[in-house]
Amino acid sequence: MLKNTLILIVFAIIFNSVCFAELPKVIRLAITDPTPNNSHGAFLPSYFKAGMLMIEIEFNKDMDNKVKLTEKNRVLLTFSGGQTLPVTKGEYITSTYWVGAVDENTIISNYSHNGKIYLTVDGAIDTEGQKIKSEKSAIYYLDISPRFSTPKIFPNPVSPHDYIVSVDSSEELQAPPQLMIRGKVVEMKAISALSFIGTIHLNDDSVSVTQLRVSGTDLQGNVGHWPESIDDFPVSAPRRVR
Amino acid sequence: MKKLIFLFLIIFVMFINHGCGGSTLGNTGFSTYTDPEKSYIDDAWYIYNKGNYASAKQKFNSMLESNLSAKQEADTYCGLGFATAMEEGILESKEYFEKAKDNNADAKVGLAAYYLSLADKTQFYKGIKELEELGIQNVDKKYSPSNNNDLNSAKVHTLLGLLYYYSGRFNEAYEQFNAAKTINEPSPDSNIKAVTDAFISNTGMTK
Repeated sequence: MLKNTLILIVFAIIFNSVCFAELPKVIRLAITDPTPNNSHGAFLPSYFKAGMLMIEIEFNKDMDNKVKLTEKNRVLLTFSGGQTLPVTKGEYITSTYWVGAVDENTIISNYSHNGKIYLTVDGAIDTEGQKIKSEKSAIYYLDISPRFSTPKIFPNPVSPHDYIVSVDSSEELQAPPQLMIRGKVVEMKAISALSFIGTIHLNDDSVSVTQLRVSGTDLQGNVGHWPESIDDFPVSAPRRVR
Repeated sequence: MKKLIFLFLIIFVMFINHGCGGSTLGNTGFSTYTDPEKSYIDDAWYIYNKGNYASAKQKFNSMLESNLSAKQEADTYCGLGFATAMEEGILESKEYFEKAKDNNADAKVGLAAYYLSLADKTQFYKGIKELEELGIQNVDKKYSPSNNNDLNSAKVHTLLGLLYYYSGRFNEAYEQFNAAKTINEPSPDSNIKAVTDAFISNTGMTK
């Protein structure tokens, strides 16, 4: 009798461990914006500026950190237009917590408009070799700072010292962008919602586009520049956002 | 007999050059004129073309104290407009071109250039009107400057192309840029070529 009971218990334990073992899964998947002064976030849930995207993934179990989530599209951003962008920077901070980041330049080179995005995680494996079920995040709204086309600068055809500068913006601005050339401000005027021109008199026979600097603020208060100079988000020192 | 006729002709030509209205040797040093005011205006343009815009302005300004015909006055104001544009910027030239434009085609071109540099979308049509009154919208139209300056067909067609372009009239702009590129000028301007090439590409059209 006792023998049968013991056999039954052992069988139940084995059955339970085989059939009801806890599978690894994502318990939290978030895109956060560590940019300070993100005032819009107070009004629009899940709204963030795209200067630096921090991606946080929490698992219910210890994960195998040798399986890189930065490879094989395991962590993937999908934009509203259907374009995808794999997250290629990130690491396990603890055995259950992974943090990744995408800097704005990377996003811009793949997708240059404001819009919805979501994140998917697939292919992570726990220390027991079990693979997670694919997980999809909530929908977020991506607000990219305005981009500017490379400005054109050319002389007025019949007045060669009067230069005309034109530049296009990727989105509507609060006001025409500010353009500086060799420290002089050029007043820009709107030709259309996204196109601006300005003129400046310079006693020079040639002016290079490399001497120009453009900056403008979009309707949400994001400032964009030409040329761009945005540093990568420091992945090695993540800030956990609760 | 032939020698006598030849001699008579030489004396006659000398009489025309030196005997009527006096002689004024301009700063150019190689031409004489029967009309001192015209000579003075040409001298001012000569100084302008040498790049001495302040002196050219002075000379044009001093002309205004003379008793000028309507045409001469227009030429003078036109010169003042272009010299001011080079020295201070074309946005300072408007009043001169306005005063000259009814009797001087170059001043109409200058005024159109002013409207381009004004960079105001509500004003481009005024520049277009000035050039269309000169027939520049006709892509075969060749432009010869009324004064001794470096305006030419390519520049004027490019100017109209830019005014059309910034007014959203891309088809007409494209035609003007192509006209500027293909029109036969004695000394093509590399700046003009660069502008027309860039804007032809911008219109999204190809030949």
